[in-house]
Amino acid sequence: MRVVIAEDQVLLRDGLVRLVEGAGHRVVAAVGDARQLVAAVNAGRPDLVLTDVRMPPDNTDDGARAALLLRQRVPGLAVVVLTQGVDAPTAARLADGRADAFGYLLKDRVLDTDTFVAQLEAVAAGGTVIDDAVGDGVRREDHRLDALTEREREVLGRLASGRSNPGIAADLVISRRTVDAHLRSIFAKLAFDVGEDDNQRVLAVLRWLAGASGPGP
Amino acid sequence: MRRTRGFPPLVWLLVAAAGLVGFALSLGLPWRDTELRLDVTTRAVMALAGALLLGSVARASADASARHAWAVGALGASVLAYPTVLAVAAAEVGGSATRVLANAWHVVPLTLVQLAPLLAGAHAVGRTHRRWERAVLVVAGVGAAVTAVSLAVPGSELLLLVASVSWFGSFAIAPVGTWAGVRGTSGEVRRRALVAALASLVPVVVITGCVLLGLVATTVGGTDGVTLLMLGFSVGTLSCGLLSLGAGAPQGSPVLHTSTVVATMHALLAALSLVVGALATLGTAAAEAAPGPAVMVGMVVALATVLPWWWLHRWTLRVVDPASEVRHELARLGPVGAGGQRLALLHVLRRVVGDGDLELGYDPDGSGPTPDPGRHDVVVARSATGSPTVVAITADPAAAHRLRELGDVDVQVEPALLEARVEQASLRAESAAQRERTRLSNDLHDGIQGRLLGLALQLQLGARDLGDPAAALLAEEAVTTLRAAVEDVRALGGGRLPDVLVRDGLAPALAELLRPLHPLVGLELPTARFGAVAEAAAYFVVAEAVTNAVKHATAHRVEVRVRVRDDHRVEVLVRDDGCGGADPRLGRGLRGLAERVAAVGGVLVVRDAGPGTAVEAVVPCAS
Repeated sequence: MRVVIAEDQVLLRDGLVRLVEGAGHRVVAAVGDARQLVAAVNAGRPDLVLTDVRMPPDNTDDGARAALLLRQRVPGLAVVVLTQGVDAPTAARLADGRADAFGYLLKDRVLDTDTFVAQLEAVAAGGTVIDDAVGDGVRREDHRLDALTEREREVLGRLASGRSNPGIAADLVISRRTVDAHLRSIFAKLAFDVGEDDNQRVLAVLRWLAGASGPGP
Repeated sequence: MRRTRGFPPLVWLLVAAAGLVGFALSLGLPWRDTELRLDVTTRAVMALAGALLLGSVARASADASARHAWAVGALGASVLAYPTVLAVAAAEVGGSATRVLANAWHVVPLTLVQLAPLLAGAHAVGRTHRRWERAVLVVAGVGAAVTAVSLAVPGSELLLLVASVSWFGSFAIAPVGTWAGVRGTSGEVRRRALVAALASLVPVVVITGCVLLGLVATTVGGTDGVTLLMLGFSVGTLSCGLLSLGAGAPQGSPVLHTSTVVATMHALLAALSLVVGALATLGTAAAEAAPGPAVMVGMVVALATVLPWWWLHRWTLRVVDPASEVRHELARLGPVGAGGQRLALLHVLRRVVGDGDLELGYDPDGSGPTPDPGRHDVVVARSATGSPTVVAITADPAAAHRLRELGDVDVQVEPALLEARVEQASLRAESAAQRERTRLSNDLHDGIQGRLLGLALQLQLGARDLGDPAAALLAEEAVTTLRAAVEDVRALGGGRLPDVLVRDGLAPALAELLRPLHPLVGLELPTARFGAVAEAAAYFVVAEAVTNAVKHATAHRVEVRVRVRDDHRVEVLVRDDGCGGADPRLGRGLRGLAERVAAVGGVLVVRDAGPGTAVEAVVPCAS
């Protein structure tokens, strides 16, 4: 896949380039500020953007704003946002109503190189990866989530982190059939129309994000 | 203030000299009138009063070139001429013309004792309309004309009576006109207006008093009442003229001191006591009592009026200097500790105006609080440029009225205002420091974290290519250490303001922070934003207090309430049902919290609340 990397710290940027290229992907541009990121996406037509939140020119949340803009303007572009600290409202804001092809991760996760690359690939394939740390702040804000059991919420949290069904089974030390049963129960309780499996997964993650970000619209 | 050119002092002195010469010549005339008897001493006192007035005008006319100085000069001349006119008439020189002149002469000084205070009051408060003065002149003119007609036409005693009644009734015009000018004034202008008002009352009271005393004297001792009347006339006109001049005295003159004005008011009240006493004596005497007991009754009644007079003292002070009560109450509080000035002022103002819910808004720069006309807000003090610096917020119209009557309390308000100014400055400094701290910490954390991460990543990627397993192990260890360092750096950033607080405000930030405790915590938060510093302080208070409640007090329920009060302060209350026993002296967290709150000019109180603990903080909103 074609990747654009935006990170203002040169050392980390070079590391990310090496990591992504080492995994057999092509880095079409590695830039150091938000404006260059938008320009690079326009010029390079990448499949995935990997961007830091705090970057020049303003050194506030320029990267996040650029990511949001790109998600809205460029259809089919997968975006992974790396951040210093995570919070659910920001995640929901960046998801912008559609959780597909979207990642929101703590910067530290880059050190778990294999997992990190796998997460990038999952997002590029249209999946959703939300950092586990965001889940720490989630409780029963959305009353629809109240209906879920503790176990189901754990499963949903991991689903939002971009885990596959076998991954969730391994995490929670339960069988894959049990995971499937939990997911069916979750989808039923959240009252999604029975449709394509992936679509349900995305909707469930969105609901979860909405619950995590408080009573939103 | 319209000014007219006065006579040079010399003119007034010449008039005085001419009057005195005339008076000296009149002493040589034989006194033939048997109805009216005036001894030389009384006449001399009258002439002296007139001469003194003329002398005072001559002395003051360098500054007092206003109309009231003219009026006082004319008053002096007419009083000085009065004994001479009377003597000429009594000597039966010039026939009936001089008799009519002598009988009507009192109209001139008695008109002028009304005009002089009115003009002085107008001069003091800058009143431009002349309707009071016109009213006095019209009544005097009509009174004089009717008197003249009734004297010329025999058998018109009823007309004379009517003329006299309307003439004496007109004496209310000057007091009403001058007191009307006192309203709504403050400071020295108020004292000037008050002196003018007193000037209008003095002749009325003194002359009435002397007439009554004269009647008493006639009834009791058979002495001539006219002598007392004329003495009262002299004292009354002299004091009236001097007070009228005093109302226009140069700035800072002792005549205008609060104590002088109060003393004058007391003198007037004393004269009123005498009037009441004289009335009592006359009443008793009318009831066929012996003269001795009648005088005794009068004296007792006069003394009895001393008590209400004393009660009036406070009222007097308030009339002369409406701020005196505030000053007095503040003085009674004694020395106020640092940070307590505003509380002291609030306490005193609440008491003085009788509104326990009164609040004060401060704006040291004079750019912020504007009074809300929907409520009954009153500007208590203004800056040098005239913009409001202290505004009283009250819902009570009566309290608002009393506040407006307070007049000039700038001096009393100053310490509280200074305190507010210091607090605002420190808030601003804290706000700037907070911004700087945030920036530094962002730079530091992001910089270091990014670099450490970059290093760790590079090392990790590099280690893959190492053939030597020992070196790979070493590299892996280095990566682990670097990873721990990254964690440490993040932990160090704990005191940082969460982005959501800075961006969305307190309510979303606290909702986010306390979400894991959702079933445990009841939140009551304002949706409005109220300044970064106060928000940060409130955030940390709630965070720390809730953490304590859950961790140490094993609370089952924590209530968090944040509200913005009318006095632009944020009130934070965190209350739990845990085991209690929290004390800011013991817990490092609570002590740090108290310091943090104090740094932004707030107060933190930790107290036992039945079962459990209440942590209460009040923090000023940054503007």
